[in-house]
Amino acid sequence: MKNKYFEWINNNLLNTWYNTIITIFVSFFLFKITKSMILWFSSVSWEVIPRNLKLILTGSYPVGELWRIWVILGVAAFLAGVSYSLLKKGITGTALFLIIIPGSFAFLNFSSGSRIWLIILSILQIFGYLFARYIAGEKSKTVIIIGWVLFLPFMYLFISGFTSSEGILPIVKTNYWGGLLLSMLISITSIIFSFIIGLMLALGRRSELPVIKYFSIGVIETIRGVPLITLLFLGYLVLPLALPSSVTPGVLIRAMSGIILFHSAYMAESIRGGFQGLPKTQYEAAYAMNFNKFQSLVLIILPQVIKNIIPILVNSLTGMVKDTSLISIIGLLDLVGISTAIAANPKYLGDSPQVLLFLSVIYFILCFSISQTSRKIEAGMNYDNKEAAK
Amino acid sequence: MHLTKFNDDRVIKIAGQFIFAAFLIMIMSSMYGNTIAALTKRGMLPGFKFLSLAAGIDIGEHLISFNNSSSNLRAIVVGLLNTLSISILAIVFSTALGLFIGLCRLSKNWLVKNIALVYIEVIRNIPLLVLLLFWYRAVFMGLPHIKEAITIGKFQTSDGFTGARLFFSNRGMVLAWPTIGTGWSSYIYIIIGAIAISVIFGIYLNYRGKITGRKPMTLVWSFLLFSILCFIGWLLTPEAPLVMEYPQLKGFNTTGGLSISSEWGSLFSGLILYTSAFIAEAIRAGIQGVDKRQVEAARSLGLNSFQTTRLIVLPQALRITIPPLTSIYLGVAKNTSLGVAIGFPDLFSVVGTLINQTGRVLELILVVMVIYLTLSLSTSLIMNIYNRRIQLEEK
Repeated sequence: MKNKYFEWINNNLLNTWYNTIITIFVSFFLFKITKSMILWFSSVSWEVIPRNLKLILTGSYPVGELWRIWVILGVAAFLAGVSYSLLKKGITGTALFLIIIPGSFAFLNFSSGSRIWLIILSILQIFGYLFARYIAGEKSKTVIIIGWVLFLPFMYLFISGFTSSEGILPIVKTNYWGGLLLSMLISITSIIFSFIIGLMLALGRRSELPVIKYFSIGVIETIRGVPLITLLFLGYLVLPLALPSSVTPGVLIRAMSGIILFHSAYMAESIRGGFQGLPKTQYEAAYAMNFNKFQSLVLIILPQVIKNIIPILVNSLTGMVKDTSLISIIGLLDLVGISTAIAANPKYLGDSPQVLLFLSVIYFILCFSISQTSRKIEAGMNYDNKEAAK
Repeated sequence: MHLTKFNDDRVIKIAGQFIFAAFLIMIMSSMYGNTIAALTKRGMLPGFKFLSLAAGIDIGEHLISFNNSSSNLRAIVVGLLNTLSISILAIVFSTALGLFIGLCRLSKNWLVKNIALVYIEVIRNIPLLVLLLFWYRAVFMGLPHIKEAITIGKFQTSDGFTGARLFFSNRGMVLAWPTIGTGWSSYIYIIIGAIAISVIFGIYLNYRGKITGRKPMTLVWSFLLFSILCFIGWLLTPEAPLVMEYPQLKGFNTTGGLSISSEWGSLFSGLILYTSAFIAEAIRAGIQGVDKRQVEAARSLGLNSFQTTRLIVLPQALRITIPPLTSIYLGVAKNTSLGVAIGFPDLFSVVGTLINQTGRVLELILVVMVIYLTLSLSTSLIMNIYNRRIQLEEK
């Protein structure tokens, strides 16, 4: 056993004389950096994070209504649990990780209410999985599709509320939404809408009709040529001018319109890549089966294209989450906006590094898990394609 | 019968396009009408005359002279030059860093390989804005005040002030920088001569290469020759062509040397960190994308490791790397617009200030979009030409 470790070190760290030197140097610097980081960690006060945790996660969403967000998370956990049943080899490492994470957070020093909710999130995922496996069975696919489609409107309705202040779901105005909640809401909504617009633009760009084709090309290339922030300002400042004076869109919608416009152009190009990746024989086969253009598009081409670009779509969600941070520039209190607000608070003078580090960790966990999921899906699809080719 | 059907199809197509165009024009004209109405209400009819009026703002960093009585147009040009200069510098440095990290990622040393992997994964999954704010708020703002600035190579000047090779404070960095000395006017002829000689040498090398059939390293040898000639010329010039100018601390200000503001520093460092991770990934993909059998074939033909890399791997890796690299470079120019978050006066930030000052939303956003579009389109044109040159010519 000892020999094996020794062999590994010999092969990977000390295989040539210059690698040995590099290893020694790098280890030395790594040690130095780690040491100074640990020193820094222990020297600064981390009070600012727990004190502002609620603000960072949900902004100024009323404390009495926080249960709504937990319910939304619970529904998402249940749907996620049901979705795990689609995995071919049963529960995989990733799914297990997602199940364990909320439960393990319950051991941290949160309020008792939050701890119970966190445990419930874990249990709901397991329950969803078992429900799909043993009760719904074959029908679980329908449950998944309908569930996720209804999830977005349900989420909005639940978070914004619709009754007066005496009712069960009093209205919470959008300017109370903030932090991670706002970032995620905008990301998820924007990706759905930009997919729809992107699909239309991609189809337009492939169209034989010159007017539609050049219109789509013009829109896509213009948007891809300018930074997101100009579009954000366009949505924020110019959109209210361009709409009839009777319509006054809220700040959230104005901000989102810029993000959606921006990402739909990039999405259109991804989708176009998906169209180009499809073998020509598929079109010819559809034509030979006497399908007309519309039928072959909807029944033959699109399902395959969408399936092929699912990994790209999931991956573009990371870009969306990252780009959402820009809304703080136009004054919305998303994760970054909240951090700026905390930095401006004289009580937390000089605590900016800790807050920004915490933000980075949140963003990293979000984006890294999304991109890993996309890789997993891609690997699974390559496996499927190889199986089909056999 | 076939003919009539064809005709029908065409009629539908034309009618469809016509309806689409009419619909589009309707929406556009209604939006335009609304905008004009809203602007008229504010008493501001769109027009570009305001560009020649005085801007009345101060811009901290300007490459061309600028004060608060300069025109709005000049302010935009100042912003554009800031954007261009920082983009070009960031592209050069992040390409170098990205190349280094990309090669580390392919290293056989486990430690080096995994440090590069962690670097790439961490940086790619954090928004650029957070990185910038981190540099600005945590690094630069955390530095001491100018009075207690971190100094390297401190000395006392004859008139009693503190001079140093480098001052590092929360206002940024001031470092010693060469300035033109008395020998410059004669040295410039040596540089011109050196350029001419190395260009002729390069042409000769290419000519030799065509005869012998061996690809010469024209750029490397010409550049080497150029450097040697310049170095000899430096020694031969009686007075030094360039003199080091050391910054001095006078009261709360520094004079002399090259001054880099903390805004510039944050934007530059943030951009380099962020972009290099993406470039590293593109370079790794490019090199790994070269078929292993190509290397094996080259080695079995008797090429050594250096020749294999130069003649077989790099040209093919470049083909794979150029298209993603193009979009990364375009991204850098666009990402400089995030300077607005930390107060660096790039194009967008200047325009943002002008929007606040003049209220000319529509015109100013249009100007910014047109400038960025021109930049993007011209860059991608150049990169496409280069790309076409290095792509495989398939017969």
